[in-house]
Order: sequence, then structure tokens, then C-alpha cells
Amino acid sequence: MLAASATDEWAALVGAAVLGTDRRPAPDPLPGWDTWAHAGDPAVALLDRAAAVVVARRAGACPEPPPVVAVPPAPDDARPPCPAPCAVRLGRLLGGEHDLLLPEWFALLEVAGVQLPWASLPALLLRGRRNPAFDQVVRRLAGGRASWLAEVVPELGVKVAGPGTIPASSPPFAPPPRPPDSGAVVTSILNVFYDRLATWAAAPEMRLAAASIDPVWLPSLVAELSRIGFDPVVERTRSDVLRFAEFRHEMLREFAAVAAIPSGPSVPSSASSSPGDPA
Amino acid sequence: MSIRPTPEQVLLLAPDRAAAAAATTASDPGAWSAAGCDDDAVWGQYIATSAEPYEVAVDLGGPAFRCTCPSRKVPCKHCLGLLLMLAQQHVAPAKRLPFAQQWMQRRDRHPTARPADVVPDVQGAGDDEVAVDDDAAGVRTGVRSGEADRQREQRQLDRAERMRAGLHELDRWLADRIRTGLAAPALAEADTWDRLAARLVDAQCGGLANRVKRVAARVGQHARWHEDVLEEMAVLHALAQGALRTSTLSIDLADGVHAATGLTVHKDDVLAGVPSTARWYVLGESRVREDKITVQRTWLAAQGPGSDGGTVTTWAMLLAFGAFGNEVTTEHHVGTEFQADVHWYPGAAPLRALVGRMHDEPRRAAAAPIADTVADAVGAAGWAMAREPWLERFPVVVQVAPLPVGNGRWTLADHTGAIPIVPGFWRLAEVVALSGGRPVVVMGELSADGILPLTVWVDGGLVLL
Repeated sequence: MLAASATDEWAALVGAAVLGTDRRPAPDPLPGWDTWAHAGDPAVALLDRAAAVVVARRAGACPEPPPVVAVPPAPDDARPPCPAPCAVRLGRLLGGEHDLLLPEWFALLEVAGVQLPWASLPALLLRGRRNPAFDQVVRRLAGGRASWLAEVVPELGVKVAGPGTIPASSPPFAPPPRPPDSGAVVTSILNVFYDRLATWAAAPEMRLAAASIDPVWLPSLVAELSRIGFDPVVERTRSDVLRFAEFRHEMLREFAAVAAIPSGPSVPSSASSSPGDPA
Repeated sequence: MSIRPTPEQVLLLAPDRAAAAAATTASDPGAWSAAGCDDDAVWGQYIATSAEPYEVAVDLGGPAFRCTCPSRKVPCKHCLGLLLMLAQQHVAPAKRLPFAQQWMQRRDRHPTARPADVVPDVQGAGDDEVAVDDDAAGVRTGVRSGEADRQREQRQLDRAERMRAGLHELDRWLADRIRTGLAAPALAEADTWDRLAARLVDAQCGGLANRVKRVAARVGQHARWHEDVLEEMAVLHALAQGALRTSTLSIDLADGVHAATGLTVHKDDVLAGVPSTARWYVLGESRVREDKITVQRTWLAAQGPGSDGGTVTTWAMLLAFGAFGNEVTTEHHVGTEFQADVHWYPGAAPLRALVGRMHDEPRRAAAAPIADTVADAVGAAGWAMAREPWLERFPVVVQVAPLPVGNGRWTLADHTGAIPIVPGFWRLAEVVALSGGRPVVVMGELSADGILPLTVWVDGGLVLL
């Protein structure tokens, strides 16, 4: 009885409080609520009564009934989930860190055969609105979940269907082409530094070169760049290209670790044994 | 430990935009004489148009400010200007000027008597307080001797008297608003609330002052805001009445009232209490920026079998503050678990706690936490609200699927019920994408507006939101 009347008692108190007790005194309390209506001052009495209702409502709060409209589940995806380090790496790439490496991250993900990190899917789809070639890759790797998400969260503002054909004007989304001789590219990068020509203006070109070389050359590039002594002319570029090469190296190592873990829920031992770090 | 601020951090301290602009002008080294600094303080004399230069000093630990100028702003433009010079390396280390030395000594002796601090020294130990722990603010604690004890007692008496006056004033103010009505235009003016909050700060009821500011933010928020505001005013009324007669309350309830009004429990006293030793799982972390302080809540849970065969989840919340615009450092990482002693702050529905002794190293937890049903989680929150109706949030861990209810609103639901997701939760699409429309384990903070999801477990991994 108390719970049933709480709504009515509350409505009466709100009505009086909005107009003010000077203009409209609160009506007499409903049965069961009179214990808290003793104060002489009508305003204080209203606050007393309101406090009692608030406590009852808060303590007795019930969940809302479950919504009747169900969301259809996303299409099944048999691929294993994306390992956490790779997902974190994507978060950093999307945050603007070395986004030159974004195409390679997607290429590695595809080779590894794992799911996209679903938490990043909204950000990826939003980014794809401006870049059809990127959108096409994201939607291909997301499987059915991309259009599913666009459909169930219309407020995201993403089209349900991706671009069928990519306009010729859109920039291609692929890793930079690998040079025929990566060793020669590493040598020429280093020569630019030795000759003190690696100014800040040259940095984008050097990053592009570091992004394109065969990964087996990355450790030697990192080692050589670390060895160059401090020189104010090239220091900014040196540390930038060094960070870039290290970032790419770590990204490749993380995906190499995926291949080393026996994957898939079909392998019963993978659930119990903790995924060690083979690297 | 002292903090050397950056110019951006200094300007964040400005009470308003005008002061920030004036501070830049006041940071001209040409306007200063005998400016100097050491590890704990910075001081100088500002050559003003008046005959006497202003004596300016800033305690970097507090931070606390002192200036002889007539401005009532704290910190005034001279204090800010001085800090800006320090940030720009225009102040050299030196021996303290006599006035700075005296002031700093006084602050050393009376670490709690700091009326001019930017952060009120009342620390709301409630689950919702914005204040700075003594340690967090880097304030040195005074030496406790016989004389100091007497002084401390006297200060506590003075403070109790001030709080009493503040509580009476709050309750009168609430009744006045009810008399003139919530539709009165004065209620929509920020000034009406700000003045009350400022007087509560003066009365050292910092917990209530912060609560008043949060109520003010609800005015006009949506069509039915009158209900929200009346609800919060009723809670304030109950708190004021409770705080004026704590001697008639049970000890736990009185402690809860004290914490919500802003009375401090010393860390050492909390750690002296009986601990609960258990395996604690770090389930979530939230960060809120309030005023100039970042408040970080870390939620720990210990889960074990209950008497009815179900799972009992015991919660503990660690509070940390980032003052001076600094980031809060994360001590306990979400997804790890450890064996440790946890000490709760006293209260009728204790949540806030300190981690005492750690019995092992934190390790990545092997599995997701055990989830409640929505009905059980809401029920547990209800029990806590019955004990402390002023609780503003309660932790839940549930296995739920996100479901839309129209108008862009979403709920988290299972077969027992649904909890609305707080309006304005901007990572909703991520939760939906993670779930794929299937139930996932979610840890979040339950408040009057709904649930704020913090952590999602899916496919053997977890995602922080």
C-alpha cells in the first residue's frame, strides 16, 4: 500500500513545491505518509514528507521491465578475437600516432585471420565516411557486424551498405609498395643522416621509406639510427624516424605472436593454458 | 613534495577569465622585486600603484595563496602572476623573505587552518566528494604535541560551531525556496546556488557545498527538472537535519552523515580499523572532472559464495584526486586481482575504502567477474540507498545485452529487467559493437540517471570504456 501510494504522494508534493507553499499549501498526506507531516512550518513539513518519499523510492527502486523489442544478434563470426596488444596498437594508430601504418595493420590482421577489435568498429566506420577505400577494407574485415551495427545504432550516422565501387578520386588504401632492395633503402636512409641532410622537411619521405621496407631490415635500421650521435640538425628527424621504425617493429611482433598461438575455440587446451608470450 | 606547475596549470587555477587575463600582465618580471622560490614556496613583492608593494606568497604544496592586495579573489592575479613567472623559469631560488618565512611557518603549525586555500580543507569522505586528501595535496602534517593537541581540539570545537551555523542556514534556505516555489526565477540563476555553496564552504561543510553545486546543474536540464531538484533538496534537508542531531543516530549512520557533510576521517584512523582480507578484483575505474580537480574512483570487488548458494559481491571504492590539473596515477589496474587488507571508511553503507597491506602481487585475473542479474543488482543498490539515501552512485556488475528503447535511448537488459544507460554516454556504439547483440558482462556505476558502463568483458578479454 505504501509503495502504491508513493507516486501519488510525490506528485502532490511536487505540485505544491513548484508553486510554493505560500501560494499553494501541500495537500494532506495520503494514508501511510502522515508520520512525516508534523512540522509546524508548511515548507519544512513539505521537505520532511518529500525526504520520506525519496528514501522509499530510492530504496525500493525496481528495474524497468525488459524491452519487448529485441535486437537481432550480429552474424556469427568464427574467427578468434583480436589479441589485446593488437587492439591497443589500433587504438594508437586511430589516435593519430603513425597512421601511415594503418594499411599495414589491416593487412596483418587479415593474414592473422582474427576478428577486428569490435570496440574500435564505430570509430573505424566513422572514419570510413570520408574515405571510401578505407571503408571498403573495414567492412570486408568486419564481416556482417559492420552493417549490423549501422542498422541497430542508426544514431551513429553510418550507412548500412558500404561503397559498392570506389570513386577513382579516392586515395588508395594499401601499404606502400615494397622496394625491390630494402637493404639499399636502409643504406640510403642512413646516408641522408650521415650527410646531415635529414632535416625536418625530409622526415615524411624517410617515414614512408621506413614504412615500405621489408620488415627483416627494421632491426638494423633501429640499431643504426640509435647509434647516430647527437646532432642538432638531424636530431628531431632522427628521433621521429626511430620511433616510427620501432612502432612498426612492435606492431609486426604482436601479429607474429598471434600466428604462434594455437587459435580457435576448437582447440580445447587453449582455454586452460594461459597464452604465453612466445616473443 | 612540491609541484612545479606549467603555465596552463596555473591559469586553470584562476577563479575566472578576467583573473587569468590579468595574471598574464602581472607576470611581467619588471613589476616584481625580490621574487624568489625554494622547493615549497614562491614569493615576491609586486610593485603596485599604491605606496606599499603587495607581499605575495604561494605555498606550492597546498597550493595556498597569500597576498596583501585588496582583491577578494583567491587566488588573486598577483599570486597567479607569480606562479606564471615560476612556470616560465623567471624566478630564481633564494632565501625566503621574512613575511614569506613567517607565513609558511604558520602554515606548518596549522595545517588545517587554511581559510584561503583554493580547495576547501574539508574532505568529503562520502562516496561523492571532491576534495583533496592531505597527502594528495602535499600538505605537511603538524607535529602533535600536548600544545598542538589542545589547539587541535579548539579548532575542532570552532569548526563544529561553524558547521552548525552552516547547516541551519542551509535548511532555512531550502525552506525559503519551497515557500516561494521552485518556479521562482531566482532558482534558475546560478548566483542563487553559488552563494549558498560559498557559504557552506565557509562553514566547512564542503561535502554539502559540492552537492549543492551538483543540484544547481540539474535546474532546467529537462522538462521534469522540478522533480529532480525537489528530490535533491529533500535529501539535503534530511542531511542537514541528520547532521544537526547526530547524537541521536546510530554510530554508523552518524558516520555516514558526517562523511556526506564533509567531516574528515584521518587516513591513519581508517587504516587502524579492522580490515577485510580477501581476494580483490579491480573491476572498473571512472574519472570525473569537477571544478579544478580530477576525481578518480576505482571499484574493487570481492566475490564469494553466499549463504543461499548464490554469489555475494562485496564492494570497495578507492578515491584519488588529481589537483593542479595533474593526471591521477592509476595504482590498481582494471582486470587485475590481488590478496589484500581493505579498510572501509566508517558509514552505514560503507563503500569508500583504503587498501592496507597487500598479501601478494597483483595478477591479471583469469576470468570475467561473476555477474548479478539486473534485478539483484538494483536490489543491492536499493539496500545501500535505504542505509544512506544520499548515496549518488552504487557499483553493479551484470550480464546484459544493450537494447534500444526508442528516441536514441538505450538500456542494458536481461530477463529480470532493464537499466537505462545514462543520457549522453558517448561510447554506446562501442558497447553495442562489442556485444554483437548478445549478453556481455558489464561493470558500471548506477545512479539516479541510470548506469554508466565502465568495463565490458567479452570473448575472454576486457575493454575499458
